[in-house]
Amino acid sequence: MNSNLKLSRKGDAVFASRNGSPPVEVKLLFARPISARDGQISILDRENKEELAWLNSLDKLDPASQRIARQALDTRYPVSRITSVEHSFVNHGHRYLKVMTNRGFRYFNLKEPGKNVTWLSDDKLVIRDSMGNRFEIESISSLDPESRKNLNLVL
Amino acid sequence: MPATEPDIDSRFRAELPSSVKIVLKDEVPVFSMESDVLRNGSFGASFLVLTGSRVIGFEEAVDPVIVSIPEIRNVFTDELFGGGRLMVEKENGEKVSLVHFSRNLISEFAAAARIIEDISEGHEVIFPELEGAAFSASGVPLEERGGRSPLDMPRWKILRRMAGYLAPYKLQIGALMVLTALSVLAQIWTPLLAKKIIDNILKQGEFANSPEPAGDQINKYVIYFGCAFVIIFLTRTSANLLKVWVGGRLIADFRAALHEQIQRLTMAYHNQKESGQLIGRVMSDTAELYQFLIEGAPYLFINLLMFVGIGAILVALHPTLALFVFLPVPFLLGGGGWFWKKLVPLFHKRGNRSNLLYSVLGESVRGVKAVKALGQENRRHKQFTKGNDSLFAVSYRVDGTFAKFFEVMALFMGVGTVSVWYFGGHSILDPNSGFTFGKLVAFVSYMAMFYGPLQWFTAVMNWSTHALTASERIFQVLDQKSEVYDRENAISLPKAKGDISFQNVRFSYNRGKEIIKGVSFDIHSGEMIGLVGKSGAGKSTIINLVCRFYDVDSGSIRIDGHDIRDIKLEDWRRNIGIVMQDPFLFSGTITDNIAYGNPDVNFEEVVRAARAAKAHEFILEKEEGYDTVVGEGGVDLSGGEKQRIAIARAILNDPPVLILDEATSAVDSETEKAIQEAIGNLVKGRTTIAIAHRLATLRNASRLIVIDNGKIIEEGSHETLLAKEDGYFAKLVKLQAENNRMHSARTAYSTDDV
Ligand SMILES: Nc1ncnc2c1ncn2[C@@H]1O[C@H](COP(=O)(O)OP(=O)(O)O)[C@@H](O)[C@H]1O
Repeated sequence: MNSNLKLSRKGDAVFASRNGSPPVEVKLLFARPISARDGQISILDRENKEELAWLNSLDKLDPASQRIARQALDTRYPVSRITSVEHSFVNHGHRYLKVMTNRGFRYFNLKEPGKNVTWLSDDKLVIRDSMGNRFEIESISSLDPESRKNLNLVL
Repeated sequence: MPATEPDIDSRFRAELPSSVKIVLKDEVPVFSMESDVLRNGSFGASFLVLTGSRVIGFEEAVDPVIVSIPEIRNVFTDELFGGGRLMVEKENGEKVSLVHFSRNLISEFAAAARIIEDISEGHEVIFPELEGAAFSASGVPLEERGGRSPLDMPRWKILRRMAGYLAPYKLQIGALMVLTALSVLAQIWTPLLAKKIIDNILKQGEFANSPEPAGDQINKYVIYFGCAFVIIFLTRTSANLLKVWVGGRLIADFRAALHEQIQRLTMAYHNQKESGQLIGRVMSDTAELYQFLIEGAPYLFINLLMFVGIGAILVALHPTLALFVFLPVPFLLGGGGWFWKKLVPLFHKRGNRSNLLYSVLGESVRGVKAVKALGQENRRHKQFTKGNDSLFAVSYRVDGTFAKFFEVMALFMGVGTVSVWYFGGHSILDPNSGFTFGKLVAFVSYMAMFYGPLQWFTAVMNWSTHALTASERIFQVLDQKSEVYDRENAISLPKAKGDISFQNVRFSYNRGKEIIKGVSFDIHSGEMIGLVGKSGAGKSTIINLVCRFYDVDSGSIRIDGHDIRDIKLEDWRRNIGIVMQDPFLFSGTITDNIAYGNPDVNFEEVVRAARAAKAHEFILEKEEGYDTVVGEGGVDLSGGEKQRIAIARAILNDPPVLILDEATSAVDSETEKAIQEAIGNLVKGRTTIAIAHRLATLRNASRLIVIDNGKIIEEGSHETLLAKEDGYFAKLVKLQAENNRMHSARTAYSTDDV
């Protein structure tokens, strides 16, 4: 049903056109950016914010559009996945972590873990730092022991 | 050369790597900024540079993005998950992103967007002040870049601030210390007296050759003993009273300072802090500090004196034996510390789990109807049981650890006790040692005094850290920028004429997301303006700016020709009457609420205002009439009733400027009529800005200003706007009329069709 939807790019903007209608600039958004990033994508008209299409998966699109969609989503959702916790300490009740992520090294401050750590399962969590940046840990049990120890210190 | 201008935030003057300089050749940057994210999403240093002729997004090993200034049509930031990017729309419609950034730098790059826009439009560059800390590319807050991490205030600074608050009570604190020292001395004295009595009975030591009868000696020392207890009683009682008084006073001062500050904090601050958090600062942080001041701090002081005093006496009595007493000290301190370190995270866990259980329980009770209706009783009970069990598990660990702790500590002390009895006993048998049974008893008593508090030492030190953190949080609130109430040279404006003028006003709540995008209009004294637009268009924001709950980012608001920022804030607010959609009533009687802001008015005036507000009749019909208590814990009033009380309040205040936020919710037509009449009475002779929904208001307004997406898109009288075939307002009205038709088909009431 969405196969008549075509995505195109101009500069760093993404456009969508349906059944050959004139392309409009759009924004691709995950409906559940924390818990489900493998589908449930909404394509919104950038101007009037109306939904142009809902995709349960990108497969329905033609390969070129799929590529553009994937890239647009990667740009809009640069997710930081922690691969190791190199150091952590608590000072004055504030927790500091130095971590390595898939995007590179990061040093951040975590306040009120009760509020800013979301457990998605017993093994998976999302941390929001004091500035609102998010860091995910896909699986705590597969972190190295040192990282787990450092993490335990602050959670 | 601009790079040496002193008052520009160093964040606009990023150190550029040499590879950027190659691209720049000999162009001089107007500003340069460093970001922490690359365009491919990785963390890393990237740069934004603006020169006189072009803007450049630069990162190592990738081609730079270059846009020349005449090519720029529009500059904006685009929100991404966990950050954003700065984008340029070119004259040919193409949009390119120059630089990406994390959430740490959102306000910095929003400011950059505005600067670039200003320059591309040919305006003069103004570098805004940036808020908060600066961050490096890996996220570390950088002190030397002009930003201080707002998180830790150094300890000495906290203590110095505390000392400032203690200063008014220095006499009392001095007395407290003297009394405490006296009580400690008296306590240390008692084992020495016991030693004298025992040695006297056994005729040992100094009494070995004493000719005085033992009975007289005993009487003397027992009297001393009694005196010591009286001294301890008197000094301790007065010290306790004094410390509770000083601690309590001090905390009362803190609470008062906090409350005053909360009233004066900017709306911007209030919006980003949850009210619960602020209430917590005032109540629980001060309570935590109080507990420490009356328990923890004296504990540290008393026991420090004790250690020194007792240590000295023990050494004097028997240096070698004293050494055995000191032997377990490192273990007691270390062990105490070790246990404490284990316990603290457990305490936190227990606290969290217990809170969680509370909230599950709370939801089960408050939401019982929903739970039953959805048939979720079993699931909720399972959820509760899970939380309950995990609370049990952690509680068991906490208390189990405690139990072990006490026994291990007792074992350490046992080592000291056993060695003192062993070596002490043998010393007494040795006639040359001069050691007596009295001394041994004194030793044993001192040991108990000495060891007891040691195990808690680490805990109390830890506690002091918490108390410091609590005070830090208090100081953080006290240090927030408050609204400028008494700016020097501010104009006093007791009674404004009521001319209001917006001149190219721009405003954003959060830097980076502009809500009001260059709005200009003039309202003349006595005029009634209706603000119209879809929800989220920015109407309430304009009202907020008129009330100066926020200051504009750029442009200006003028009142009777004066910039609103030059007028004394309190004066200006007194000139405004506000009637909100859902007015806030303070707890108190209806009379109090109408007279709020005018405590001196007499009751007749209150009634006159209530009559004009069409509130009189419904108030009389309440059982307790004007004495009815409303607000928190009082009688609930309907929305229409509350609004009329607010109108009465505004009428009584008689402000030259009136702000009216009309309710969108439908009320029955009788109430509607009463409210309309009340509003009619209220707006007479005042400059009125109304967020208008009702037809009557729209018709009565001298002019309507139609807002969409933070901009004025239409302006004119109701008729002219309606007559405009393709007008936005005409369309809005048509849409609403359709909605109303659908609505009235289903409901008994038919409100005026707009
Ligand atoms: N305190 C606030 N902080 C951040 N954004 C806000 C705040 N208040 C309103 N906004 C946003 O500003 C925009 C305009 O809101 P508002 O002025 O309340 O619109 P209206 O009154 O026309 O319905 C909306 O997008 C809203 O989300």
